[in-house]
Amino acid sequence: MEIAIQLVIAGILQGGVYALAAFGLSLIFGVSDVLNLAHGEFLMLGGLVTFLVFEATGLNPFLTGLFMLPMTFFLGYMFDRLLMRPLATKKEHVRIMSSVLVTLGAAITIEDGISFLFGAEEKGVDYSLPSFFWGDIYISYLRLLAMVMIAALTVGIHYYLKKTFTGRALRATAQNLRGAMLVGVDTRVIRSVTFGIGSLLASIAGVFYVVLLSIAPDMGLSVTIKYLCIIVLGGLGSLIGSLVGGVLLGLTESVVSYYTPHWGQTAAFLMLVGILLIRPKGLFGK
Amino acid sequence: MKKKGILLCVGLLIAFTMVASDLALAAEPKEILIGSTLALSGRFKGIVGEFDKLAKAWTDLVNERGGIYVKEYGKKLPIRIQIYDDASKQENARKFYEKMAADPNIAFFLGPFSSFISNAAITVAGKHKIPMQMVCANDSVLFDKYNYWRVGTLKPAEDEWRCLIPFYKAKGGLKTFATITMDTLHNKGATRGFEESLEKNGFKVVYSEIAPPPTKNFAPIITKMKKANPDAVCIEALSMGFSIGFLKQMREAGFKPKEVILGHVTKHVIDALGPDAENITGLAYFFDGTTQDHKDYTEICRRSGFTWGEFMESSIRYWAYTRVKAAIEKAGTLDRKKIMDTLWDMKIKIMGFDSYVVPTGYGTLGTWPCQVKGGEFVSIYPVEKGLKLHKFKNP
Amino acid sequence: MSTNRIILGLVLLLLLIFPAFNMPYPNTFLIILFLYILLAQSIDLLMGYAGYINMGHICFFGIGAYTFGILWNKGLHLYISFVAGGVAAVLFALLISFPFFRLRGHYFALATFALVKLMEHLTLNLPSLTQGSDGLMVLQGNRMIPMYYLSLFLVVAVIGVTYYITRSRLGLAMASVREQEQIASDFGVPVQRTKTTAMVIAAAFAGLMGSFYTWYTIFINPEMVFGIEIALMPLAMAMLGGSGVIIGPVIGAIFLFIVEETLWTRMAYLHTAAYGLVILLVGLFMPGGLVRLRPFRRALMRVGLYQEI
Repeated sequence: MEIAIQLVIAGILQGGVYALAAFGLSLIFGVSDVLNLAHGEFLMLGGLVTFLVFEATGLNPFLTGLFMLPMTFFLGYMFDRLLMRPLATKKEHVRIMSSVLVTLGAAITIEDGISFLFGAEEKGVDYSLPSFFWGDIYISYLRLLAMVMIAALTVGIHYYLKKTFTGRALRATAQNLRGAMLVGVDTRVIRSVTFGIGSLLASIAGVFYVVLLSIAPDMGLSVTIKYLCIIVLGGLGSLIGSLVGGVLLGLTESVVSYYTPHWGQTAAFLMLVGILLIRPKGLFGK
Repeated sequence: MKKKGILLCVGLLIAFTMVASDLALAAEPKEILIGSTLALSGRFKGIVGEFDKLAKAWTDLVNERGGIYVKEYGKKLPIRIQIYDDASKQENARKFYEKMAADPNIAFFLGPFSSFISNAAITVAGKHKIPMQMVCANDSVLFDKYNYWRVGTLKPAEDEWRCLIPFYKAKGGLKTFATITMDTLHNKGATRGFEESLEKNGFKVVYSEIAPPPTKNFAPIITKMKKANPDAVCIEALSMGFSIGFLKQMREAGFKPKEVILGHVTKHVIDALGPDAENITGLAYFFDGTTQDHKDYTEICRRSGFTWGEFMESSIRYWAYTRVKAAIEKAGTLDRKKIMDTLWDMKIKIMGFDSYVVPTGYGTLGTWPCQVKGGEFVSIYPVEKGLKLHKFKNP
Repeated sequence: MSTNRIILGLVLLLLLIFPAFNMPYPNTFLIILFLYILLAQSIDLLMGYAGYINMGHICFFGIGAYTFGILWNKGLHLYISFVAGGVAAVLFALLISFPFFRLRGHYFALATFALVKLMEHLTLNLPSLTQGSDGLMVLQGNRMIPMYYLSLFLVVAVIGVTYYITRSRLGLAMASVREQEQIASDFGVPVQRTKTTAMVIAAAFAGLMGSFYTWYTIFINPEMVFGIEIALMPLAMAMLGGSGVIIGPVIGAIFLFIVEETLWTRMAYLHTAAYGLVILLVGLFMPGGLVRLRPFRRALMRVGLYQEI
């Protein structure tokens, strides 16, 4: 019984970290209608900067994460401004293709570049908070923090989208591009802002990665695939969807891994494919 | 528009000529050229990406001393190692070895990193009858089928952990072991050999698990391992991400076994764990000593900008290079068949240890225990020295 | 005789007599190139013509590769095992066509991408069948010349079949599905059957090439045939060359291959980054692919090689 609780807790918490990263991707997709294959790179960069700062100064990684936010926002904004904006005006079929090419090319270049500049080996940060023990069950404070953070972010973003002007502009762009332009929203800027926010979220997830596990320059593409699958599972464009999707994935992995470690990851993907076939638009898809 | 078209065509033409020029035969150099590929990019980059510097450092060192004496020409020739990037992929390794096979200036080959890439390489070596001294490759897949044109440097993977047995027998205090292994041929072989030895020597394996390489969530496995209550936990993984993840989650789970042993431990693990890395026991392809080989090895590492603890595989490279040099000197010629015969038959001492090849093709380089102390690796071989220095992780 | 036929004939002739020059390295070179071309061309059948971006196309390749390896190792005759690879891929395509074609656009793309990961994991987790992570090794069957001709034959076949499709009713149906699927269906186009046929043909070629690959490289493991890099490659090549034009993926494959080759042997470091940069630039400035660039397009049209649906 205890083990079951432990597994569920571990799964949910792991899912929290997944959801954090998937959030940003979902946001970007909802507004810009773009498959961002370079999302994982921002995660990696977030973790990398945290690592470098930690190595040099020993600064608390979360503090570094905080200071890093404006920087990653700017990076994401510029990424969209320079690379993705020209693509927005193309026909849908062409747009999907070119966004795949551009983001894929960017991802490959960033991975190799970082690998060259900073070394390709795994980097981890030694920062731990004690775990909370309850009999034989343990809950890691860090993961709990991740969970709390993502819950807070969900609420925060929800309010942002509902109440602030930019937020509403974002939703408008996501719903109807032409309509939003008609009412005076500068959709191009909105898209870049969204990209910035999405990348920001990814870098926060990166901080968690480097603290809880480790990061490596070549991790980008594989994590991106995972997150793409999560947002599809949850439903493209739905923030709740990515949260639920992430947690669901974490849970499945955790529980199945207990019985057969090998099938843990497979089960997660089987579930993804299964859910998509029952609900073609994902769990909460529009 | 027409200009653009011409420009494009010209560009293509240039590209074609560049590729074609690689296919053209080069002029006769006056040096010994060894061909090899390395994973300068891709997933193995973290392990061997710096080794092109190592190769250069070694050849520089040898050439500073005049080169290698080849009796056939009656003089010393400089040596150079040609390295292509196989990007950790079998396909590319094969392509480059084929390319080098077509180049008559290449005397013979050095192997790439990892057994499965070496697999592709040795098929090329066998096909074109070019000697290959494999480096970081010791899976049974390579040695099950006899191939005259390849020899290895390392002992079989199964033997890698066995050096710990005499040490733990002498030290005492450990009865039960648990293992977690990454699902690759090499790692599984190593653990299998170790578990066999443990059982034969009166220890008990209470828990054994194999997990896929991309595993990030070890909580279920750790929960199970905790229940089995082992004295020592052994982690055998080629990927540091795997090892670091597992160790960190052990810490989170409050799982503190008496001893923690890491099969492929490197400086990056130490960095990732901080002070918690203290007293992790590991395996190194190196032990302290004062032979000329030791001095040379430390020197080339220094020139390449790292220490042996950062890149453990570097000492395997050193052994392979030294074998190559010795083979040329002993054979007295660059004739391929004679070199190959010599590689099989010769017996030399490297770092005070015997290096030769057994009939299946395995070499004799094994591992020696080491421990992390004060953020650095300390070799704890031989047993007497180890007993003085070694401390359990959580006594 | 029209210009394009002369050119094609000459190229074909050159390729046919190439082995006589006895250059092992360029030979290897060409075989890999043929592999790339075939993968790019076959993915474009569904992508450029029917409008469905099957990011999991490589599954067909991998399934073919493993089927061949497993069967041949069990002692089945070489030719039968070879064809079995293609058959297995076709069966898989049929299996997934019903559920997956209910998805559209991005969902389809991502779901098929998930399939790749799924296949990779399945292959890892059924070691009794596939040897799992150890990889599958087949008997030494490395005979250059038959291999060269086989791969050449497959490439010519896939390009030929694509050409005939563009001239057939199937091609027209595929184009209508791409443009306006709902309306096409309303007008009586058998949409489901069209899509399935396209996928099956693509799968057959990819599967056969998979069999060839195992035969050629002797050793395969899940990462080699279901890995991310190889999964994204046909996609990048087809898009880069020009999706929807017969010769597009061919050009894309050749281009990327040459870029890879030249970069690799020239640059010790950062060649992958340069490769990524090339892909990025093409995506940014040549979104229709190389073939749709005005000078290129004109040249190809003049020669009669520019064919799209």
